[in-house]
Formats: sequence, structure tokens, C-alpha cells
Amino acid sequence: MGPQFRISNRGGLASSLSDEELMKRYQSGDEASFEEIYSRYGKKIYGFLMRRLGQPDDCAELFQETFLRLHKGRSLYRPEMPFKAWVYTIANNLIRDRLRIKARPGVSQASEEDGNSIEIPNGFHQMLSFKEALAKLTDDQREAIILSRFQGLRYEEIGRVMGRSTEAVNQLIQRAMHHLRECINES
Amino acid sequence: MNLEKKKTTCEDSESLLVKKITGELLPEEKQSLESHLAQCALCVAKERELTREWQSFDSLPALEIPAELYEKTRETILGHLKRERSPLPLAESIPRGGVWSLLGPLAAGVAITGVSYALIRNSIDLKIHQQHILIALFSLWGILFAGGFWLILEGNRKKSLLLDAVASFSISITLLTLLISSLASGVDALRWFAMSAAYEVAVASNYFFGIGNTFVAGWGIHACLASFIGAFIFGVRRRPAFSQNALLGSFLITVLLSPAIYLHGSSHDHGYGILAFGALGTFVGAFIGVGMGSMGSFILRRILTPAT
Repeated sequence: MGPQFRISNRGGLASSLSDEELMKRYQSGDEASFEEIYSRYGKKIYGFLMRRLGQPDDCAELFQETFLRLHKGRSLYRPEMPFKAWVYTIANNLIRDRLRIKARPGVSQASEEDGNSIEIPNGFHQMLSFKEALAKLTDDQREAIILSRFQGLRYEEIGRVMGRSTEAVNQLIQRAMHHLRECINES
Repeated sequence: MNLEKKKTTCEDSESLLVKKITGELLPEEKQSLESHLAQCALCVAKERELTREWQSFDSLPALEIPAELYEKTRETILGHLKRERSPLPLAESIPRGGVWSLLGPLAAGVAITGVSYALIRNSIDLKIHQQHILIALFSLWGILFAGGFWLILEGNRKKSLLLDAVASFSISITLLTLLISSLASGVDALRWFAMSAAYEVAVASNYFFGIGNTFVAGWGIHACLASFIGAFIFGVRRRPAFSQNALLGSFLITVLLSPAIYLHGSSHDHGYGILAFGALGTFVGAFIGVGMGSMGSFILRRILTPAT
């Protein structure tokens, strides 16, 4: 059983509003709107961070940082941009910065085994670690497929998060699927 | 690209198949793809394979966020929002969590006690007031202030009879001590400031009650004023039912201030009479303060709350 969370304003006005409308209220300091946004995206953003980074400590830090940046930068949000893409962009930029730092020579890498984000799923060959298959993808491919498959973002939204065109996102996902299938067949 | 005119080939079917399983296929693309699938067994097999691959992701475990992290982040943001809305953002930024919940009030209590002592020390005659009595007195104040600040800071989120009583008491005793300390410092400007209108009332009460001199009467008046202010603050801030607790809290001042009042009274040869006067002033002040605070609260609610 998962952890129990305090969720306020369930069934109230805030829960019937769109993300963009909630953000507008949140911009003027409305607590209930923040709570609703948080209840909609808190778990999703954490899931995204875990699937991309796999390290609980890193994820906890970046999770807090994502919502702090969302809070501090909320006056910059414009309703023309879908909120979902905006919040994932914040999280994604943080992930990229963190991965960049980790990729520097001399920065110790945590053991891959420490991550508990990806397990071998049923339906894949027993000898194949799904984690290894995903690891063979380029970072962009992995980013695109996680945003599409696990976070439920549309191509257009993924494009905004990644700074790519919709067609480029389509190609990234297509290549990612192709690579995954090759890995399965090879094993 | 005009898709209606272009027929889907095996080469570009994979792109469309991926779009199909991700729910991104456009209506015109769907039509073209279905026409191709109707005549290409290879691409039908590819579609099955892709679908199975896509569905395999379902078996990955759900990633639950730790409840502690979820709550901590939520509290942090709500704290930021609260500070932004506060008319006194600096006061809201005082750290209140963890070890600060203990150190903050302790530091405030020690600071207030130190200020009181610094102001009052010139008027202390060690021949009359024994050192051990003074240490006990100031220690008692220090503890009371620290406890009071803790309740004021920590009690914001809670509402209980005990919290209200002790917090109102703490506000009252703090104000009273500062006023008395100012008086005792012997600085004319401070003395004038602290006495102000109360001094005039003290003259009148001395005339009517005939207890001690005007300075001694001022003690009673200040006890009355401090209780009034403390009770008024809580009368306004809380619901009327809660402001009743302020009466209790302010009344306690009489008991806890007794050593200080007695010290001063004995040094001026006024004995225990001043205790009775201080008690009366405190009680009357608290009573009026609760009444006016509750009335103020009622009027404010009527003005600020829109009619439904």
C-alpha cells in the first residue's frame, strides 16, 4: 500500500479547474490552487525524476527544487503555454543539469544497481535486463519515451519540454522503440 | 506533405505505427495506414510486435513518492505562500522548525530578560534586594518569556484553551515588564514615554484611592494597561469564545508578578497594599480588554466578511 497523503479541497472548486486556471490563481497566492496543482503533479514529477535518474537521493533533492522553482517563477508563467509542459520543462532542465554534472570527469557515479526505478518487465526475454536496454538508448530517446509512455505527454508537449519539433519527437520515439526491439531480438 | 495523395509504404509504416500506439495518429494518417495494413502481412506483424513492446511497459512497478518528502515539500511551499501574504514577512521568516522551535523562544526569552535587567539595574539597591532573590526573579522571568514566546510562535497553528491563556499572559507580562523597566531606568524621556497618559490616570487614582505616591499608583495602572493590551490582542485575533481565555491568562499576571511588585513596594515602604492594587488593576484591565477585543473582532468580521 502506498503512502497516505493529505489532499485538501477534494471535490471543491479547485479540483474542477484546468491546470492553467489553477496557475492563474496560484500566481495571486491562492493556497488551494497550489494544493490542487501539487496533488495532480507531485507524484507524476517524482515518477519522472526516478525513471530518468534512478537515485532516490537525487530525486528527492530535484523534486523539492522543481516545486520551489515552480513557486518562485510562477509569475513568469503565461497561460499560452500548457502548464503540463511548463512543469515538466522545469524538472527536465534540472535533470539535464544534474546529468551534466555527473558526466564530468572526477564526479563519482552512483552504482546503477542502487536505482530501483526499472525492473525487468514480464514479456521481455528473461536474459535481457530492461534497464540495460533503456541504457543503450540515447539520452534524448530515453527522455522522449519516458515522457510519452510514463508521463502521458503528447508529442507537442514533449516537443516543448525538450525544445524539439513534434516531428523530431516522433522520430526519437520511433528510434527508441526500434532500438529496444533490436535489443530484445539480440538477446 | 499531402498524405491523401501519398500511399503508405512499408518503409514509412513504422513511423505511423509508433504514432498509432502512442495515440498521435492523425485521421488522414490513420486512413492511409489502414489501407496499407490491409494488404501487408509484414506490417501487421510489426504492429503486433510494437504493441506488445509498448504494453510491456505496464509491468514496470509504479514509483511511489515517500510520504515524508511529499509532505515536506508541500509544507515548504505553503510556508512561502504564507510569508508572501503576511503583513510582517520578516516575522514569518523566523525559523520555527526543528531545533529552532526551542532555540528561538529561548533566545527571545533571554533577550527580553536581559533588556529588563539592563534597564532596571540602576535602581536596584543590593542592600535591600538580596542577590539570590534577584537571580530567582530574573530566572523566573526568563523562563516565563521563553515559554511565552514558544507558545506564541508554535501556538499559531493550534487553538486550545491552554495556549490562549498562556500566550495572552505572556504578551501581557512582556509589555508590563518593559514598561516597568523603562520607568525604573531613571531616564526621563523613557519614563515620560512609558507613563504618558497612564501617569495622569495614576495621579487621579492616587487622589481617589490614596495609596502610596503617584509612581506607585503607576504600577497598578500599568498592570491594568498591559493586561488590557494582551487581552485586546487576543480578543481581536481569536473568536470571542477564545478571548475569554485571555481573561484567565491576564488574571494570572497578578500572581506571577507579585514578587516584582512586592520588591518595588517594599523598597518604597508600601508593603502588601500595592499587591492588592496591582491585582485589581490587572483584573479590571483584562476584563475591559476582553470585552473590547471581542467587540473589535465582531465588528471586523462584519466589515471584512461579505454577506452570503
